Amino acid sequence: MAKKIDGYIKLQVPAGTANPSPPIGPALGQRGVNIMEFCKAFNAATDGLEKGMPIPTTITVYADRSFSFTTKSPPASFLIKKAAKLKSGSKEPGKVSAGSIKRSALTEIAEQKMKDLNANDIEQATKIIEGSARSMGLDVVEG
Amino acid sequence: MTDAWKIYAEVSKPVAKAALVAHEDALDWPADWVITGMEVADHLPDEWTFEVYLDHRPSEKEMARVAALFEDGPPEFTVEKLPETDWVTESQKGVDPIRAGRFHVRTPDHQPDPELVDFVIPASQAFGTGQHETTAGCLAMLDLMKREGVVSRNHIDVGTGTGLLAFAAMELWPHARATASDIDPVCAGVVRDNMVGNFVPEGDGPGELTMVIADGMEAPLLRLRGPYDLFIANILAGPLVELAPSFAQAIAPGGNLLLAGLLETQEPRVRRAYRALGFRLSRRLINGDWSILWLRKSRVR
Repeated sequence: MAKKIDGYIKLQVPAGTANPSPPIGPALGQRGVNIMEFCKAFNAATDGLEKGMPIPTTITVYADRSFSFTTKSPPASFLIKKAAKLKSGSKEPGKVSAGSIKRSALTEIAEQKMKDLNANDIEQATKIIEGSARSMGLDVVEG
Repeated sequence: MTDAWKIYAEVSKPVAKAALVAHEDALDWPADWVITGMEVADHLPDEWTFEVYLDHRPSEKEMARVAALFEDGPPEFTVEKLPETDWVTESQKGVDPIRAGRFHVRTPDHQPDPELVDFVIPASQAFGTGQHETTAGCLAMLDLMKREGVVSRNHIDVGTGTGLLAFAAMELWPHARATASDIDPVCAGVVRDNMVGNFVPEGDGPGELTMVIADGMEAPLLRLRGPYDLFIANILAGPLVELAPSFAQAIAPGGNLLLAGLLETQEPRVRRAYRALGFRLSRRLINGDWSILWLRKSRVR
């Protein structure tokens, strides 16, 4: 029989460096998740990734206090900022440009995020990422 | 200690789930916020709480970001500063004892098992309470080593956490010199407390344990106390591979190496690194998703 689910915890954890400091510690601790066990399992699962890269993670908490977790590719906004060498997006997207990003860079990001996107092919996925880049105030340029 | 704040609201299960999904599409969501959607109580399966945890008092702008996750309008939020609590210790309280090989590991809330070798490891901020599959797997593997006739006169546990694996090795080979080390300074106090709680003598002679805080094998004392005939490292696959040359150097010809903290999928990479340094697999054990490896160093190199 499937275990009863009590709820979900969603967080972004730096790859390979999960630690129990706030707000991860309190959020997991209040829900009875063994924090050190999660940190060890997460750090092992993300061991091969770039250290510190934010990894969206969903922890499923079961009624018996056990848990499982799934990870996704880093958020599109993180990958876009990294590719465009930006610290943050535009404060006024549509009015003030934060910079530019090449379409080829967006395709690379789309390939990286393909499994997490609701897209049938890479063109569609690139369009989704392009939308994210524009909403961050970036101009998309050919190349 | 860093502050911890919570924004929370009581909502129905579908509303909580919808907000969790909306969060996935939210651009530039602060990377250090944690959100949860949880059932209020077993007998109220459709009543959930939606919570956001952050390390400062939320500003109005931040409250608006949370409110935007609710398509049909935000619920009534409460903002609360959480009391300073050692959540790591709290989260480990009340866990059931584990049995692995001849060992029984428990928190002080539980009774000893007179049939088994008993260790009391209270909840703490250090890894290695025995609850994790890697630690339990290492205990089982150490037990197997003893049954297979391994004799140790000088052992080390790198990444010791609570000290548990070092204690277990000392129980199996009571006349050996014992060393434990960890990169995390918090472990020094935890190991010493656990030594007192488990009547483990501190010192550098036979049957005594020396605890060192060190990054890998960097502390001169760790190298000075080698070569080791039993080397235990329950850390992570990456560091196991990275530190393989310095670990290999510290192990005596014919010595035993117990590796853990690696997922089964990471095993080939780790084994390759040690094979190149003259180690051969003696036994492997799978516990959940984790591999526990017993390797032996070639006598001639």
